[in-house]
Amino acid sequence: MSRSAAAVAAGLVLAGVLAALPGPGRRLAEIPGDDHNPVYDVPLPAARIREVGSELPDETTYLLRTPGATPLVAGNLKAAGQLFFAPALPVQDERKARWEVVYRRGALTLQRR
Amino acid sequence: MGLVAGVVALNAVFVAVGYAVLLAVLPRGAAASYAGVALLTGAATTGVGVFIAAILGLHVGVRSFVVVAVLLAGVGLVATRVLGRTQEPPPSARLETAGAVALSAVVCVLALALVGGFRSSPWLDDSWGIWLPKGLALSAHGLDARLFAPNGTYVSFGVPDYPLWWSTVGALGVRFAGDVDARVLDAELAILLVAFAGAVVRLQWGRVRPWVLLWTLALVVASPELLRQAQSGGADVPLGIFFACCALGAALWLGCGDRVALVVCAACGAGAIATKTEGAPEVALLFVVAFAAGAAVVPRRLPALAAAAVLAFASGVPWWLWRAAHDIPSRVPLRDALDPSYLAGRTGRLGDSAASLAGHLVDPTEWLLLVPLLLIACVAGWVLTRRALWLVPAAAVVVGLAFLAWAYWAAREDLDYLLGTSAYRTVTPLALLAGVLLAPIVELLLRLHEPVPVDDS
Repeated sequence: MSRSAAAVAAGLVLAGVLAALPGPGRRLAEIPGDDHNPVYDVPLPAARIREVGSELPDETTYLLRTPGATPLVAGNLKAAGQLFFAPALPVQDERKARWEVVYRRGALTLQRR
Repeated sequence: MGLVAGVVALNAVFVAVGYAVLLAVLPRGAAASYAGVALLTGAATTGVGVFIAAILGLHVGVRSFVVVAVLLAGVGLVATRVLGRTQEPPPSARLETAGAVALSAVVCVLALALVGGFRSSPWLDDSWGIWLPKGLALSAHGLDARLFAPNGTYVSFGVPDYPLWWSTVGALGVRFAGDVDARVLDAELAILLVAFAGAVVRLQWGRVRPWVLLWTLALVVASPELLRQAQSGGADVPLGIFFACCALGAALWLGCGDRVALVVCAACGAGAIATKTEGAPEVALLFVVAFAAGAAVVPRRLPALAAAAVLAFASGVPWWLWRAAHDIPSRVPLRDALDPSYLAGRTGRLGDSAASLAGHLVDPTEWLLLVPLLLIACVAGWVLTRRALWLVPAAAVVVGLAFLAWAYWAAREDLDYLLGTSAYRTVTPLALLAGVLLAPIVELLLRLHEPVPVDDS
């Protein structure tokens, strides 16, 4: 085995050991790992957000309403909508909206307008 | 395909395109060792190509990706047929024990970072709140002004002046993975990081003694802030990688006449320009420094470097035209940034900005000692030889820092907020620049005491 190959193998073995032990190696390897959802800044119903995204028709428009929510919650929901409700288009102008996504007291609902 | 298979497949295409683009200048007999160089070249050129295709009206997706990949590969193959393949052998060197130890350390850190990249969801909300949604919109609607230009009817995206290479690559990752999986971004960042390390080693292998090269690389990849940002999902790491490789490519072209490095310089310059809005001025300043240095030492190599610069900036023109056509303002308007009376009224921001940015760069808990070591090595070389050329790498970092300080000075947002939320990552390109230039400077310092031919052109 060449010196390079031995060095690479040693590095991989060391990585395996570090990943198995508690400490920075394990943290860098992100063990335990995250799921496929974004790390929201505030607790949000991640599964429901995806569900609403799958319920919305592709070629449509929606208005997001977040009555009583903090700006951070509203901002996170706006981004989550742009991520999971696409290709539906988010609108500011209510007249253009065919659907309404409402977030109230932790619950997300979808209504046809 | 799933996350792992999808991201791997996407990057396999990047590698293939990169090899095709590089084929004419690729030394024979060591193609596998250029995989990192090929991946960065392919990711930069293909991502920029698909982004331009989106500006021209195509949706970002597998179809536009295949079209662009085939076109780029075709250009590379035609260039090889016309120019022929180089007969140059690849620079080679023998790995010493000290280098082998450093290589083990680098591999260990990168292996952990790679695993972590596929297992982590980005911690930076810009990544899933701006970059990836923009990519998905490019995929669903193309570059639709209803979403990408502020208006009162539709909810448009934030920072509309930012170019969209990272969004494009993120959207391709999602398409290949088959799910809106936020981990796609961190997985791609991890792969780019590994490719970056591979490219830095390959481009300098045989020119810098391996233990110097690998220990300085170990400092780079073990930098806590790089590893932290590699799991942020943000665009600062790819910008930093492209910027640093553009600089390294320019340096190796000017110093050694390395044609692979010249292609990397052009491709990564284009990638940096298409990744974030500050990429274009940073790359422009980099070329200014490179031209100034090259004019003093190797003027015969400047025309080719100029061609690389023109290619890189030409790739940015379609986006700038689209922005102008849709009245997308810059986040830091040039009018403000060049207005002495405007700047004079807010001079307090300059010192705070410079101090904050420099503080991040020299903080050993963020970037270890990359920047201080580069500055010390440059000054040592200058003191020992009295040749101003030694100060060029330091000048590149200082000029970049001055540009960033100027941008924060001119920006309209609250300075504390702006610095607190972005200064730690806007310095990433400069830290990586220092990291990749440290090895050749240390090598040249060592050669001062062991007279050997330096110019291997």
